[in-house]
Amino acid sequence: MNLLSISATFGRKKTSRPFKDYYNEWFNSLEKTLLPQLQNVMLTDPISPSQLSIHVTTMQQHFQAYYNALDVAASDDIAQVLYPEWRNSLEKPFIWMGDLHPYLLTNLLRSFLDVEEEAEHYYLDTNEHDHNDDGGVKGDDGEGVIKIGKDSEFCVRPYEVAMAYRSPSKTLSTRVEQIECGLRLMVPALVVRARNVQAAFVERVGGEWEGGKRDEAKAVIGEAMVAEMEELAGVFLDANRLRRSVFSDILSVTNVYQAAVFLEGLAQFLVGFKNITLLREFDKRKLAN
Amino acid sequence: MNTWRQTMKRAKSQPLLKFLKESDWEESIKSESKDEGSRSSSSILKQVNSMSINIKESSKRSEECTTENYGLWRNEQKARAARLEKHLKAKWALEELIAEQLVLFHAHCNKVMVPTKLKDVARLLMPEWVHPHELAALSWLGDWRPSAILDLLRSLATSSSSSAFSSLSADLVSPEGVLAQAVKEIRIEEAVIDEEMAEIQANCIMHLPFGPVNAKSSKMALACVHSEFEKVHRVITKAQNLRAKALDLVVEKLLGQIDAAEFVVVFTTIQEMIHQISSQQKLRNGPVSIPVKASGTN
Repeated sequence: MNLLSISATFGRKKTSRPFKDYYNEWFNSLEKTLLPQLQNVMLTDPISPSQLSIHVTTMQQHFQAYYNALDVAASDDIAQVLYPEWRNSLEKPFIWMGDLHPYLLTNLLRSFLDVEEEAEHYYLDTNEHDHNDDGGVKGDDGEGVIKIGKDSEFCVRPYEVAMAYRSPSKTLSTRVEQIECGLRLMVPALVVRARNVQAAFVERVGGEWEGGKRDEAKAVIGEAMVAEMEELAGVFLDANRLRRSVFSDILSVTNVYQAAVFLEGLAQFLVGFKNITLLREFDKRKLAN
Repeated sequence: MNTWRQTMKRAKSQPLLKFLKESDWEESIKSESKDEGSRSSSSILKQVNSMSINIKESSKRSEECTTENYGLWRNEQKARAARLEKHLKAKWALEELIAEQLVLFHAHCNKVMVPTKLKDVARLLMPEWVHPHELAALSWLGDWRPSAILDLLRSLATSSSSSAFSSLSADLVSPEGVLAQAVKEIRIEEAVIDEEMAEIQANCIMHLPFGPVNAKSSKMALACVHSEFEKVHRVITKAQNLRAKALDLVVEKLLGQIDAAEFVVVFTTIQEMIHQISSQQKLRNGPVSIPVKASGTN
């Protein structure tokens, strides 16, 4: 390392901080502050929509800030963003382009919609069995569904939260389908782009390879790698943009109760990856047993 | 698990590289292959044949030989035998070295990378002994992208600056050739595996115990995690098999022994250089950072 780069590193480090520290802080404030606050409001009966809205917005901004920070980090070192060392062994296999797969966000939303749909089917089915000749029961929805979820936490929550995804509007279902449709087009394209970047790198290295001349070869590889990282950063930025837009699309098509349930689910999922008890067991667990 | 790379690069590839550069057999094999249009062991077989014919014929004519002629003849035979021996030794040494290299590749692809614990699955995907730049440059599900192995051979063969693989047939390296076709097919298989991985990553929120629809007791929780990791491991195994398939195709099916050895040397050298550049990069960059003003959380 020469003097120039030492001073460059020094200067840079004074005004910047490791992304790992940022992430840990971000995560702690999600786990210790924002999630409990949101859950508290979600438990208050009668619920205050304006209070809930404030917490939903705060949580949404918290995620947006993280996605933005990830973009900034990618411009510093894309390789470390794509292969984040700050994620634990439980998280790493589920990392796609530096973070969660965008499909995961729509699947989370689907999981609420589908659970409600299943509950509805169950309700209709049981009613059909119990009251075969009584057509009037079907119209009396609501109560049967709450009974099914008796053991779940949804029961003790205010009606608006517990029933957030009950009979979702047509617009919501249509919008979810549109978002999914967009993803099905964009995700494979991003995967192909990432592959082509690697292929172009290898082709450049192979094409300029002169057997035996080690120094020249190393210089060629070094230059090709710099170019490759720039290309990869471009692919990553688009992937992250996609993630961010799916996230905000979901929050724009859901009402405040639905958004709260969605954000709670997402935050709990992230927090779950860092459950100390689970991680301790996980660390010891053999793959084949 | 983490030793194959080092072993392959330093202990194994160096002698082969040195051997390729220092011994003079390469030149003679090249000139022979030009003369006889063959890179196989047929040149050695021909020498053995001609020697035994000489022995038979000369035994008939032995009475006609003068002492001087006999001396010349013996010297010639000795020189031939010495040359032959040198060729044989070189050939055996080469075969042994090639075999060693190939065994290492296969060991890496099939045996060495067997994880024992759940957390090893994460290490297969992001091995901590491989720097992020090296992973970003080449990696696909933990190691070289299979199609990139074939891309490398194609670009080496069509390169104007390297003569290493210039003797490969046009059938093999032309834009519509066998190699291009193989790249296409391997890419399709890669895409299928990518899809499988994406499906796990997309659906893990339904299956992991801390997802909203799958809350479980802690005992059940680990079982859920286990089953997800088994799925991931199956995908990684498929990826490793595809990688092994791509390497097999190059070193065993498409290339002759000498070209295969040459490819292995170049492949290993490139990987070693990428490794060095990545570690320098990591030292120079330090941990990935963001400006303090951009890092304020809400």
